[in-house]
Amino acid sequence: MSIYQILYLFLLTTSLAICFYSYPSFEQNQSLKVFPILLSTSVTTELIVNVLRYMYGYAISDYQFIYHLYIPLEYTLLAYYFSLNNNKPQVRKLILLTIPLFILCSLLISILLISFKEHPGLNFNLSGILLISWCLITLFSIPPNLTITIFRLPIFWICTGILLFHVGIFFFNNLYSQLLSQNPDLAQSLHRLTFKTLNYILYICFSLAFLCSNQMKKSSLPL
Amino acid sequence: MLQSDEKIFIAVITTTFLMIILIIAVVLAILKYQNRTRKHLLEVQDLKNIYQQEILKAQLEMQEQTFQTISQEIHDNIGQILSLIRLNISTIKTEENSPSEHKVITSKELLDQAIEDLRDLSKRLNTEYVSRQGLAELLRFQLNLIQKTGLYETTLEVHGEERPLDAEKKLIIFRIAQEALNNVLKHAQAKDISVLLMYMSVKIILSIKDDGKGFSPEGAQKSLGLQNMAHRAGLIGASFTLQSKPGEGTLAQLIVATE
Repeated sequence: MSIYQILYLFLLTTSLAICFYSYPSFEQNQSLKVFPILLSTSVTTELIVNVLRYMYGYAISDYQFIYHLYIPLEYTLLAYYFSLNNNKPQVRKLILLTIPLFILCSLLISILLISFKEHPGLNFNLSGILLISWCLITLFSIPPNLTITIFRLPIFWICTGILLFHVGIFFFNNLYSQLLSQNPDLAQSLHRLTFKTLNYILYICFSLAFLCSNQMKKSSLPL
Repeated sequence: MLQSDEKIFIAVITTTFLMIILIIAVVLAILKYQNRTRKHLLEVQDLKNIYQQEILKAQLEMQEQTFQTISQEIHDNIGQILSLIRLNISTIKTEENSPSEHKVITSKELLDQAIEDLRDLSKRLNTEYVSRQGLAELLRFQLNLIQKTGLYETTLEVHGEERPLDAEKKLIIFRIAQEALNNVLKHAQAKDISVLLMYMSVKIILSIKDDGKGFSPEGAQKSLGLQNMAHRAGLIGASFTLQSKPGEGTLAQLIVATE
């Protein structure tokens, strides 16, 4: 297991720990309650993958099906989170409507276009496009808070994390496909490095969001 | 090879360009949020101001109603009783130049004074009377009452043509003037009080000046009377200022926009 992988698992687990630690503060912001489920699923997925890979020596193609199942679940939870954080009923309905549609499309892509043994890149990109859209819509419609700045709002860090992660992955894929034909080794290592770095950023942003929620609860406690 | 390099170059440029767009989008979202927060803050402040003005208006209405009741009571009840007492005293027959006759005459004079003072008080408190008179007339009446005490010299100057004012506005201006004049009588130890009423094209300026001991305005900011005057002025969209220095008298100025 590489140092990058260890650091990634460490940040993911730390983020989950902070999430549970801040859980009482989620009473004030109910939508954040999707994150313990999301992060628990992520940790479980990564544990299963690592156990299969390093303990049982499974080939990459043998455990890709786990990601094919994980992506629709991740999209469902994040889309649900964004639907709860949108004031406009039409946008909320639209986001909720994309959940079954995405699950259906993702399954069709996995079955018909790419097999469960391949990396679900297309599913991932489709989820990315939708989540980037919901992030931008949410960022532009955050309700004003007179007592704290935007940088102390959990929603800001969650949107920023998801935006950076998905935009980074989405556009790196563009470069990756060009680089792959010229220098496959460089392309592979750059892909791993970029993917891991963006994951670090994502989980650091999530942790910041949970800490902000905790801070909001402390600052609103009666004297 | 060159074609491939070009493709990579294009990919890098496109990626960078799109990343810049993303950063701009996030910055714009932050700016928009700050703008919305500022607007929301202004809305909240406006609502607070409206709420405070409504409370003050209700308080003033209640005060005017109380004044009206007291004024009617003085006029219809106490005034009548005093008039009856005077009538009864007039019927008392006394010997000429006797001590009793002197007492009766003095009592009659005192009663006349009391009746007149009560009438003046009744007028001052009567909202309907205030709304019927012009502002200059009301100020003249108020200054005459002060002049009558013999302790002060009062002057009233009116510049410009007097225009009819909204009854509520006039009442509030008059009550502010009354409060300012009362403050002069209570605290200023003044001899001369001059009032200047200027009717200008778009505003009315009312200045009340005295030659009293003055005060430091910083120390007087918490005074309830001054706060009341400022709040009342705010209610009709007027500005109320007070200029004073220890030993140099005081100038209270009210500027009311009429358009």
